[in-house]
Amino acid sequence: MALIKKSDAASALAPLWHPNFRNFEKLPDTKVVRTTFFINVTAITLAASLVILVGYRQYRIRDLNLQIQETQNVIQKNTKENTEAIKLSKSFDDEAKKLTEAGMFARKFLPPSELILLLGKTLPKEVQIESADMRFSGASGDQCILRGVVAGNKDDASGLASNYEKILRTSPVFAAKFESVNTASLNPDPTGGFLRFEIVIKFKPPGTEKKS
Amino acid sequence: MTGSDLIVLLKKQPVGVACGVISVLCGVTLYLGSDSIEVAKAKAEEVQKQNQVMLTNVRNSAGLSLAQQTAAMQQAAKQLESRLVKANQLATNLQYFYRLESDTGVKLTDVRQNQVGRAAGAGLYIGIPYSVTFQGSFKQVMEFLQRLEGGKHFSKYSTVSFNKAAGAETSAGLLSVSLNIELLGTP
Repeated sequence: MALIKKSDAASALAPLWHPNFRNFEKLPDTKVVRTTFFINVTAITLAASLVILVGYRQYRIRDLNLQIQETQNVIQKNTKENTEAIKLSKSFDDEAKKLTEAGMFARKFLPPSELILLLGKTLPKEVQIESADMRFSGASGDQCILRGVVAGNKDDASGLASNYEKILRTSPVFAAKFESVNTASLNPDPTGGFLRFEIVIKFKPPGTEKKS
Repeated sequence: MTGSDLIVLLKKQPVGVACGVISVLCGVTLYLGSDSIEVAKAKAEEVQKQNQVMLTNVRNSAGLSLAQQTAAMQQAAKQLESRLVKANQLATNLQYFYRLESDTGVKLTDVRQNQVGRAAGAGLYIGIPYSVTFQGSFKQVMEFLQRLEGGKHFSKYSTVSFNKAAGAETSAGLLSVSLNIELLGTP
């Protein structure tokens, strides 16, 4: 009994063993789906994807190259006409430049003859213009200085001069063309009987005038 | 991994190895030509743009008969040039004012062609300055000015001064006019 017990205790402590002579590399794959299948599927998928990608890219490049070629053919076909058109266009521009320059040079904001006639039309009978000095620079600063006399005693004449200035400032004909109208001086004439005035009219810069 | 190992692997996984090789080749191709589509696209766009410009040029020149318009413009420019003053032809230039005098009846008391001062960066033409002084009735003066403003030559006033004519003629209502004017011309 003691011997049997001893034997039982020994078997519990040392596991059973036997030599394993299996060569796993040579044994067949007994899985339901073999590993090789997964490897092949993965490899084929990857390779096929890359091949498709390369193929698509080559197709796109070929397509673009064809487009380029076609466009270049059209360009080649139109080159002569285009050169002719550019030549004509340049010639047109050169000639147009001459006309524009002449037009700009001769651009008259307010021709003096027109201004004098307008002043004549709006001149009250008590006012007489003795001189008009105009300066045209083609930019801002163009002006006209009117010098004249107003008949009547000082009180009446100053009122008439003021009214005339108002006419010049507010008349629609002038308002569109004049930037400012100011009386620079108003003095009694030494010989008596009237007042001498000087009115400075500043013209609007060309291109800013309103159509009257 | 030795050569024999590779051969074993190749024999064991021929499909996988072949796919691997193909994948590597494709990868190298993709890497080496990674920007080729962009390059081709850019070139195509550039060529397309050039073509578009050319087509527009050709279409515009044909549709609007650019040749005819250019011819008309050249004709207009030729007419314009016939209206220009030549600074070195003093007698001819002054004749313009004397002719205006005889046509309108004013009396020219002074007419001078002044020194031409061409501004830097100026255009194709220059303004040739003149100083003109004349006397006449209101009607004559207006006619002289209007002819000058709308006459053969392109003109631009610098200064204009109207005054009552001095002396005995004052009673006759004569005006004295001094003006500085430029006529468009060439040196």
